[in-house]
Amino acid sequence: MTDRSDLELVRLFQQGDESAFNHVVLRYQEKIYWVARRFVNEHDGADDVTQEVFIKAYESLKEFRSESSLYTWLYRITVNIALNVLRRNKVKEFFRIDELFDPEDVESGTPDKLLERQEERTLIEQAIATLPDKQKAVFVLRYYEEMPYEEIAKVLKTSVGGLKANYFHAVKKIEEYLKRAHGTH
Amino acid sequence: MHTEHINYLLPDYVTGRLEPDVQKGVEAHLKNCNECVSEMKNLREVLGKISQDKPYAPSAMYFSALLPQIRQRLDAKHERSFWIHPMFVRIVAPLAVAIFVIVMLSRVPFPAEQQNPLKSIVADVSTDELEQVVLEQSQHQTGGTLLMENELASLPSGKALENHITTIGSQTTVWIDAEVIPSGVVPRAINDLDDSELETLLQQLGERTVL
Ligand SMILES: [Zn+2]
Repeated sequence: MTDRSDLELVRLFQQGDESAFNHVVLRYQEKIYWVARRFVNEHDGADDVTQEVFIKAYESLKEFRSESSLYTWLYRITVNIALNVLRRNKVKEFFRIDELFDPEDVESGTPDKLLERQEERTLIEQAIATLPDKQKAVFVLRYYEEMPYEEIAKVLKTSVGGLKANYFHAVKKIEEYLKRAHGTH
Repeated sequence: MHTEHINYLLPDYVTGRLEPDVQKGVEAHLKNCNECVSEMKNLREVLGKISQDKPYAPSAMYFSALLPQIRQRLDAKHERSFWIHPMFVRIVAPLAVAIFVIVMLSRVPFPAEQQNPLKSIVADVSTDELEQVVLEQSQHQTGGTLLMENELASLPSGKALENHITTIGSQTTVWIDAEVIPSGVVPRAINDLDDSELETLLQQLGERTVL
C-alpha cells in the first residue's frame, strides 16, 4: 500500500479500509511532527500536536474532498492546532495554572516538570517564538518546509500576495531579536 | 536609474530558492543598489545562523510508537467516556469555564496603573479553548474544579445561576453578581455568547478585579 497515492489512500479509507489511514499516518508523521516542533519548540508539545492532527484527520477524512491535496490539508490542520496550543499555553502561563491546581506538584517539582523547565530554548527558537502568528506560519513553511508560496497560500487560506513580505519581515524580526540578545551580553 | 528595491526577494535569493530568471533580475539590481546589497548581507548572516540551529531529534523509537498511540487514543475516544457525555459537554463544561474564568479573575490582582492583560489574552481565546484548559486541568488535580455528575442535580438553574454559582472543589464558593452577567445570559450559555456579549462580560469582570 506504500506505493498508493495520497488520494488513493483517502478513497480507500473513505470506503472503510482502516489500514489506509495507518499509511497516511506513517507517510506524514515525521513531516507533521517537525512542523509542529518548529511552532511549539519542544518535543512534548510537538508530540501532542502531531497526535491531535491525526485524530482530527481521522475524524474529518470522511468528508475530505480532493479540492486540495492531502498534504496541504494536513498542514492546515497542523498550523491551526499548533497555533491553538500556543494560545492555550499563553493562558496557562498567565494564570499559572500549575501552581493553582497542583501546589504539591510545584513544590516538589516532579522530574518531568523540572526537565521541561531545564530544556533550554536556543536563541533562534526564542526569536521565532516572538513572531506574530502569520509571520511564524509563513516562516516555518517557507524556511523549514521549503514550501512554494502558492502552497503556503492554500495552507493558510490566504492570497499569495504579501507572503514574500511576511517572510522577509519574519527574518528581519529574528535578526533584530538576535541583535538585541547579543547586545545584552 | 533606480527601480524598485527587491527586499522581499532577498531571503529566497540568499537561500538559493529563486527561479533562474528572477534570480538574474535580482543580481542585476544588486549590481546597482548598495542598499539592497547591504540588506542581502544582513539576511545572509541571519539565515546562516538559523541554518546552524539544529534542535535535537526524537529517537526513531518515538516515530515507530506513534501510530499505535494514535490508534489507542482513537479507540479510547470511541468508548464514550464521562468527559464526552453530552450532558457534560453541554452543561458542566461550559459552566466550569464560567467558574474558571471568574475564579481566576478574582485571584489575579492587576495593578491599577497597568492595563488589564486579561482582556487581550482571553479575547483571542475562544471559550472552546478555555474549556479545553479546564478539561485538561481537571484530569490531574484532586480538588475537583468540575462539578461531578451527581452534583448536576443540585445545580441551581436558569435565573438562579445568574446570582450564584455553587461550589468549586472543597474550598471555593464563588458568588457572581447578577450585574456581571449580561442580561438574559446565564453562565451555562457562555459558549453561546457572541463576541460583543463576551467582550462585555470580560470587561465587567476585568473592571471588578482592578483594585
Ligand atoms: Zn535596491
